[in-house]
Amino acid sequence: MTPRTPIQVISDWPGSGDRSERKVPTTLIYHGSGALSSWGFMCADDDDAMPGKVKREFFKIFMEADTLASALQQGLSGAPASTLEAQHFATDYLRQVYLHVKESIETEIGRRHSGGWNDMTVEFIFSVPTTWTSIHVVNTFKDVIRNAGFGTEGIRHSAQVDLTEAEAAAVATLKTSAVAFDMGALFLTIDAGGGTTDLALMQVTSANQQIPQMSSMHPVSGVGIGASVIDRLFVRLVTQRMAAYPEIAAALPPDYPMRLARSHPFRTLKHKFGERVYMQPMFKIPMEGVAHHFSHRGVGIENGRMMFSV
Amino acid sequence: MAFVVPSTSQGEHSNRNRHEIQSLFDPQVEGIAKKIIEELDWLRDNGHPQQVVSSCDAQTKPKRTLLTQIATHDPLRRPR
Repeated sequence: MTPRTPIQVISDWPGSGDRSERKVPTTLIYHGSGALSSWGFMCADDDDAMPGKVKREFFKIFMEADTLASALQQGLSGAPASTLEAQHFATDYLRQVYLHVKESIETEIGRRHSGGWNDMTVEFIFSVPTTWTSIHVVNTFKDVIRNAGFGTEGIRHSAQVDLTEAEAAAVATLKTSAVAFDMGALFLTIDAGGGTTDLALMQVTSANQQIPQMSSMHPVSGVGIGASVIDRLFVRLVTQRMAAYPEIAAALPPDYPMRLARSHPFRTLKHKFGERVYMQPMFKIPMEGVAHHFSHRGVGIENGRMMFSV
Repeated sequence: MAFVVPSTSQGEHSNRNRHEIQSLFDPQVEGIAKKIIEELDWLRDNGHPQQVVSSCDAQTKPKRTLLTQIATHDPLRRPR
């Protein structure tokens, strides 16, 4: 096999259609029996309103006891009941990721139907949330990734936890930044994610750009400060509009605001908002299932698209 | 550790004429800015009182006001 450079990123995921996606929703839907119904992008087409079905999201950070306790104390809806339950969800999710990664790579290298990758050297390297400083939670996560299949299928397969997410962000910062960092320089990394925003003050201990080294001085996590807040506010905005016109709401699926929040057009808006070439006076989100000629001034629908001011 | 739960009041979100999309982002931006200032205060309180400098470039221009506020945050100043 000819090595391919630069690093290849898997961007075709089950349910993502023809879109190239580097990130997969951390979502699971279970049947009432406890069996997994769907995961990731496929959850968008799975009706979790059916009796017995349950959707689970944002479970990774709740494998850490203090974070879960804080969430339960503040009544955050949808949080797992225990760290054990969070581990169970994380294992189920990562198992699906593993199976897809395995299938993708075996297919790419032409081994899918001729022995697979079991006799190859395969290293999996995971980062963990910045605030997972306890060896206990890191060891728990190591169990989760092994139970999901990583590092278990061949004698030369391994899986290790090597970096915190802030450290991973810091490595990328040091290797790609236009700013030259001197020995001893301090910098702050901000990893703004879906559920959390992790910050870490880092100090450069080796300024070699090829092999940068640094130490973490003060990691903190802003749990709850994440892009999911944007989604929740958008759902509320759409719900409020539709609430004044029950006849419109009745004609659409009951979770239509949530569907719109998860739609590709809204996610594109969310990712590109603020980029000069993307900005326009009014954003128009196409409404799946609404006729192209349908308009409603009260709800703010024009030709099948919901209108939003910048 | 605090969770950002959007306020239940309708506020500006119900006003279709005023910055509907921008207002979706405001709590996250404000939350991150608050955390950044906490980190700068930690630096001040732990023996690193140097003035923080800005490294804003052209791509971050739309957020310049906020970033400038953070970048010019003086760690020697006492907490607000």
